Amino acid sequence: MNNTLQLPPLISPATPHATPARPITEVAAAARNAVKTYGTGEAAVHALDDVTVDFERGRFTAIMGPSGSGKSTLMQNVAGLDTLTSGSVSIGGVDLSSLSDRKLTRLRRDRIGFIFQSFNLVPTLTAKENIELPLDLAGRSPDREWFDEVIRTVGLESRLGHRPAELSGGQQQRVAVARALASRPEIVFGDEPTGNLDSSSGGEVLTFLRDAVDRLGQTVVMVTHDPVAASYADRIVFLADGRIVDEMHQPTSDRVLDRMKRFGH
Amino acid sequence: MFRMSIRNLVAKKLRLLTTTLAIVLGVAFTTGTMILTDTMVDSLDAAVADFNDGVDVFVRGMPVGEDEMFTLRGPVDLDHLERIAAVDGVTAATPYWAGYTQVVGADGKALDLIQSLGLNWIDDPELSAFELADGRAPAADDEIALGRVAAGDAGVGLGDDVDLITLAGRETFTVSGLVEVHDMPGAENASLVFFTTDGAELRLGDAGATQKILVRSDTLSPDELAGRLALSLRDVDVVTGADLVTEEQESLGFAIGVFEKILLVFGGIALFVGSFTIANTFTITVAQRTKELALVRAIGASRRQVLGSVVLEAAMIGLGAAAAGLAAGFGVARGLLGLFGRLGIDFPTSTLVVQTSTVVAAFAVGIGVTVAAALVPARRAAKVAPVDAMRDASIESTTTSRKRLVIGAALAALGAFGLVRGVIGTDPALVGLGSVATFHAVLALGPILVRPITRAVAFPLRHLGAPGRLAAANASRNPRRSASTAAALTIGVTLVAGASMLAATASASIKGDAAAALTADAVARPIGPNPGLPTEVTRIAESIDGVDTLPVHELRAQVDGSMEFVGGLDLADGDEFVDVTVVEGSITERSDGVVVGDDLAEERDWTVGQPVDVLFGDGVTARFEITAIVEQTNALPAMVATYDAVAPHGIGLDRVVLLSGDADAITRVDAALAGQPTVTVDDIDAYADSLVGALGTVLNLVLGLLGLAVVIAVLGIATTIGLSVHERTRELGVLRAIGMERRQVRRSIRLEATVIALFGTVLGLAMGLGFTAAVISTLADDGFGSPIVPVSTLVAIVIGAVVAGTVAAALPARAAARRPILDAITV
Ligand SMILES: Nc1ncnc2c1ncn2[C@@H]1O[C@H](COP(=O)(O)OP(=O)(O)OP(=O)(O)O)[C@@H](O)[C@H]1O
Ligand SMILES: [Mg+2]
Repeated sequence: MNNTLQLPPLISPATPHATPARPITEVAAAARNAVKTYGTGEAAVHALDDVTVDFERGRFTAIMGPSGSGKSTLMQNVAGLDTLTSGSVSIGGVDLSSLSDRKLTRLRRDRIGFIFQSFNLVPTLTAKENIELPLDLAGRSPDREWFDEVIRTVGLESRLGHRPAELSGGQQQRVAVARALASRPEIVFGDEPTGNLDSSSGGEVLTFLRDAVDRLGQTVVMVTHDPVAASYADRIVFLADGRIVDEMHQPTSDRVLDRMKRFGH
Repeated sequence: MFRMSIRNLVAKKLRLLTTTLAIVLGVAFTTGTMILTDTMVDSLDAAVADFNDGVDVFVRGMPVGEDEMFTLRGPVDLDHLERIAAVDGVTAATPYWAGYTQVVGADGKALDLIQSLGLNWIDDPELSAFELADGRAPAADDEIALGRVAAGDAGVGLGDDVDLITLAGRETFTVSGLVEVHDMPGAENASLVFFTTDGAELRLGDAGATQKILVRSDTLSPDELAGRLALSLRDVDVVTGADLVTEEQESLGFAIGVFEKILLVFGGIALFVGSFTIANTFTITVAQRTKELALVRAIGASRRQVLGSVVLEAAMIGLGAAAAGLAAGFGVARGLLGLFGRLGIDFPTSTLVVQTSTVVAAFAVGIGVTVAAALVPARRAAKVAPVDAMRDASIESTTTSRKRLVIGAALAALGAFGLVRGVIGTDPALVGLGSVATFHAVLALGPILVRPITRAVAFPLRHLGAPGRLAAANASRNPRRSASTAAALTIGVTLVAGASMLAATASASIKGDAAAALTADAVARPIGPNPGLPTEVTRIAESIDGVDTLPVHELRAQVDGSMEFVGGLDLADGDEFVDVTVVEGSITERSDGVVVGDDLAEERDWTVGQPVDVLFGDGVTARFEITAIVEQTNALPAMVATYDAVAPHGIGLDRVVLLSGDADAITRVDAALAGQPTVTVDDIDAYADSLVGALGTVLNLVLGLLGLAVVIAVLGIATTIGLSVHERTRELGVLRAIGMERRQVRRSIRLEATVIALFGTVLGLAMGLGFTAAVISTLADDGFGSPIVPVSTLVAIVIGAVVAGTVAAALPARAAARRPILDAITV
């Protein structure tokens, strides 16, 4: 964790504070009393232990916490990739627990964008085909203007015809960001999207996520261990042992680091 | 290392099952065939021995012609009976006839049983193989004893009248006795009729002659008896009962051996196809284990140990598959025996015969094929370097190696040369070699054909949205894997397409020749299993006003030393019936003249005016002179003499009777023949169809047998798709996460399998049709017309491929779609 800090980011955060904070009006995604338990009895692990959290629309939220604290679990459940033991999650006001697999899949396809740590792309498809994939699966043709805007934002114009194997790790993650944004989703989730990148590539990807929020009005929720990455967010939610233990608004990497030191990350 | 092999096996139970199934099926079919034929041989051997039991010596005619399976013998003069009776020590002797006799049922139709035989009733219970169950032996010329099966089918009992059709035509007889039949294979489906000795002589053979004389002695040993008889008889062959039994057993054994070899060829094809599945599975699993193998190498395992562990794994799979296949082989043998039983061919046996050689073959083949198929992947596994453990290396090459390209190109050149030279030089052997070389070239170059061909066959998939596009991309993702998966199917489809084209062309050629050569208006022909028409059919038809007839006789005879079909019909009067094109000489009425087809004449180097000697089945040799050479067609025998010159030497039944007359007249012939249940009157088209009916049956049989190879190929596709999908677990997880529906996942995987299946099918069709067309083009002299593309079969094959792909992918597709997303993403 610390080694990330020794290298100052080549691209500094896109002045997150320059944009005035939006009025906290709408909630893009929310969890209510979310409990996720793995195993039973003695061996039971409470990955999520009564978590209630809102992710506001048009904002960039980071989720931090020690390893095993339940970050991924929270994100996966809010994103409809897994189901809670109890409690509820909703996306854009829709309670996910009531949805069939088919409806849930369509909701993910149409209203959620994903960026994983790695292996995001389909190797047989070109960058462009990868980006269009969710739309393609829906049988919709992309909104040209939006699509061009997204491509421009992530700076991939010249790489659209390449296959993932012909792209660097950073470029691949940028394609993944573009894909997550392509269907103009309600919310974009990333689980350590920069975890496998060097700090310069990571910085680029984070800049694009920041831009997506600022320029395109998107909502982003990102799990990260990296204080620098977290500093791109508008707000950080801290998890420990499956509970929310703290929150930080308008973070800077120093404040995050400070907090992490205090609580013994 | 051994433990590693075992653990690998245990870890992949399901995959193991599908992989093994390919070998299990091949071994099951192969051993099933061996068990079946051994059982048949055993059963028939016993039956032959029982049937001839009690006869010490047989006196039979001298051989007048023979081929591999069968010796044609002349008749035995009845005068010999007296001479035999006079020999010291002879206790009893009786003539023996067996011949064509058809029972007319209550509905006026001939009984529909597999075998219809007429025999003479033999009073001596030792010499006879039959026993009277009821009534008495036939005593008068118009009496018969009837087998129980025939009696039941015809609905007649003791004292009832029943009509029979024999060489002498239709006659009415009274049933004097009922006969129980034991120890005769197929007795359950045989119609047996027993005449008096005089009645048999009249209806089952030539006057004054019999087929065999059965002799026994209470005082002499068979050998002594045979010795004495041989001394006192001339122009006959004397053989002891034991020797005859051995001889008959040998010739049955030979026939069953041929049958076994044919089945084993199909078993071999199935195993060959199965070996592709094995090779594929090992290639993929070894590749997936690259890291593990490298790690093992890093901690000190030698190359040989790695090689050994993979080979050992293969050997154990082969062992298991062979054991399962052997067990299943019993089922196959039982099933086929049951099938024969249903077809009316019962083998009186309850135990299956399993020879040591069958068990050895099962294991040798099962283990041998599996190990051989795994050898290349095993060698590749052994090449894994310890450092590969640290790299993200995969040892499965997805593209075509240079070596493969060079060999493939060389084979392709060789194949093209053979095909072109063969077709130009009408050399079927060269075409065959060219085909084999091209076939291997295509298998070798398969990987480079994958992209263009899958792109073509997957073209419609572009309209099926993302699942279709993903399917097309995945089908050519690893060209080598796709190519070798499809190769198994290619082999099957090549053979299916080739066989279909061959049959379609042969059938069209025969029909076309019949239509072209027969100018008659109709044909009276025997129905189904009846070997011919009683001569009275000609008399009845001839008696109708406005009808002309041309009876056609046909037999096999030895012509200048080798067997030929010889026709007996009066070509000189045949203008209204047949259209022959004379190449040389002229058609005459000469009774010693023979007309010869040009192809046979060329083959035998015969010219007009040349004499040929024909040794007929009745032992008579006649000298003919070639009076004309005509264009040979499938519609007539290659040699034709006059009816009167040929028919007396035949079995007494005409092959067909050609009819000429207007439609009304033909209808009257039909009506007049109503009392002849073995006869039907066809127009030329229907007759032509009847000529090729058997061809269709043979084709269906061949296609059915090839079906096994196709099933194994489809299993191979299922296995490979399963492995590929497994490899792509994480990718599929991501796809599901970003919104691919379960049914889209399933559809995509099914389409992928379908594309691979279609790839294999397209190659197979191209080769099957191409090679067969090339071969056919060289066979014009053998009566083949230009190649016919069996369109409906091809359509069925393509539809079959689509269905096969869908079915093959069903399980992997379901499994992939069901897998929880998180589980898949986090593997
Ligand atoms: N499938 C599972 N089965 C059992 N326990 C699980 C499973 N998935 C997660 N857990 C447990 O739940 C807890 C939370 O896991 P989670 O993956 O959410 O942690 P995380 O905060 O993302 O950690 P990291 O920073 O290491 O990714 C951990 O204790 C983990 O062991
Ligand atoms: Mg995590």
